[in-house]
Amino acid sequence: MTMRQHKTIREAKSTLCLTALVLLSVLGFAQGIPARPNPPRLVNDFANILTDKQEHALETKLVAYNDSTSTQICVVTVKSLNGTTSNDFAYQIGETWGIGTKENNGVVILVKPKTADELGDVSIQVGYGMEPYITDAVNYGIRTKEMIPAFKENDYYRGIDNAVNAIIGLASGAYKSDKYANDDDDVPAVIGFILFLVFIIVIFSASGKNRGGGKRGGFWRGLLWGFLFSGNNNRGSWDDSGSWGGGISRGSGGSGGFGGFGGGHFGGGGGSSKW
Amino acid sequence: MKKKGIITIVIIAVVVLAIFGWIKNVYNGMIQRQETVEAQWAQVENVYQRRADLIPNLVATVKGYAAHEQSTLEAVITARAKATSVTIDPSNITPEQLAQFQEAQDQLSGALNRLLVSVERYPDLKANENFMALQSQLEGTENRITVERQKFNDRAKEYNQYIRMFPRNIIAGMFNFERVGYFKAAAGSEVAPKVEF
Repeated sequence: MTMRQHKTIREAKSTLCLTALVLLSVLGFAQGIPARPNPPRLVNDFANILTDKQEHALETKLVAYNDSTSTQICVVTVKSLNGTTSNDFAYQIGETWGIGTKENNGVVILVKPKTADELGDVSIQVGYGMEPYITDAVNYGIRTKEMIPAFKENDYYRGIDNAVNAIIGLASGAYKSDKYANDDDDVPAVIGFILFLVFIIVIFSASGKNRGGGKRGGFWRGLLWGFLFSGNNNRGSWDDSGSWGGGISRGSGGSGGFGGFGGGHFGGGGGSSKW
Repeated sequence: MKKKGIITIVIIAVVVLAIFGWIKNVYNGMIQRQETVEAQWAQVENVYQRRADLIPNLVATVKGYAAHEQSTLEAVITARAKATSVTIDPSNITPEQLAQFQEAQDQLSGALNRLLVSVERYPDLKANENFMALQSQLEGTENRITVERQKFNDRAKEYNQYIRMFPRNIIAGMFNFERVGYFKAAAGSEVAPKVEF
């Protein structure tokens, strides 16, 4: 290999490195936070500091709270903040995932666990709609009095659960789920249900007429039972917007399932603490 | 002859109508984006006002514990007075005016930072409940300022790009749509992305 070739290769290498550097710094912000979970979940334990059972308990609690109040409290744990502050990280999660409904009633609880050479970091960011209920001073109190004492004992679940309970208590009555209201959004689901009932009645009467003569009725009846049976497994997973959310309920043990984030916005309200 | 005249009139009418439709679309698009920028500006002013409202309380609390910090406290009060006196007409956010606004606000940020550093020497004050609450409110407000400024820059960029591109810039010139300014990151405030190979 000649000197010249060496030089070319070295140049090519440095160009490649430079390109990678520029790309990384450009994409840095977009790549800084984890992608929105699919199917959507309210508890995202990327740092793996909760047991499956604890995760499940939290998810069930948060999904039930979302069902009754439409307020979405999202718990995220990460191993690294990728060079940004925990406040910025939590804000970006809230804004890009769209936590909360159009009332902007979302909350992000971000925990970066303490490691041998890095301090632990916790940030609670609240959406615009939650700012009157969880003020910065209250937020500070939740972090320092409810979370950090437990975190210092390495009990992440207790700390997060305390914070969730505190937020649920503070925001109670602030928002109502429109799940049971006669909103326009619910009409398609109702029509769908009526159509489904009509379908059942038609099938039953058709198969009743064909009784004895039977092949066709048997086929339809089989189809119907198949339909009902498969529907049973996923019962209750129609979400608020009336779309079918089958499969989402799996993670939360059939407690209804989390219907997804609603596009809430955040304005940087909240704060962070280290321990 | 008569037929030819009618055809010409129809063609002219169609062309005029097409131009009118295009101008209408572009003009309304500009108005829409301008409104978004103005609404976001209101948010920016809100969060700065929120910070200004916190300061008298903060100063009063610090005074009780740290009487020696008279000059630092006065610097904060002066900077606050200056920052609240600089206002911008939201329908005309020129780069120069925005730079002026930002400079006044950044001076207040600097004075506040110096105050918060100096109170480190007063453990009694740091343990004061009222002070801790104020500090957390100040922290939250600074977060909000960062976020709203970023959002303002995004909206402003969208609007600027819209009005400056050809051929829309002709319409922008006709109706006096002008470029709006951006907030610039304060020196040393950016977090450099860490790159490891």
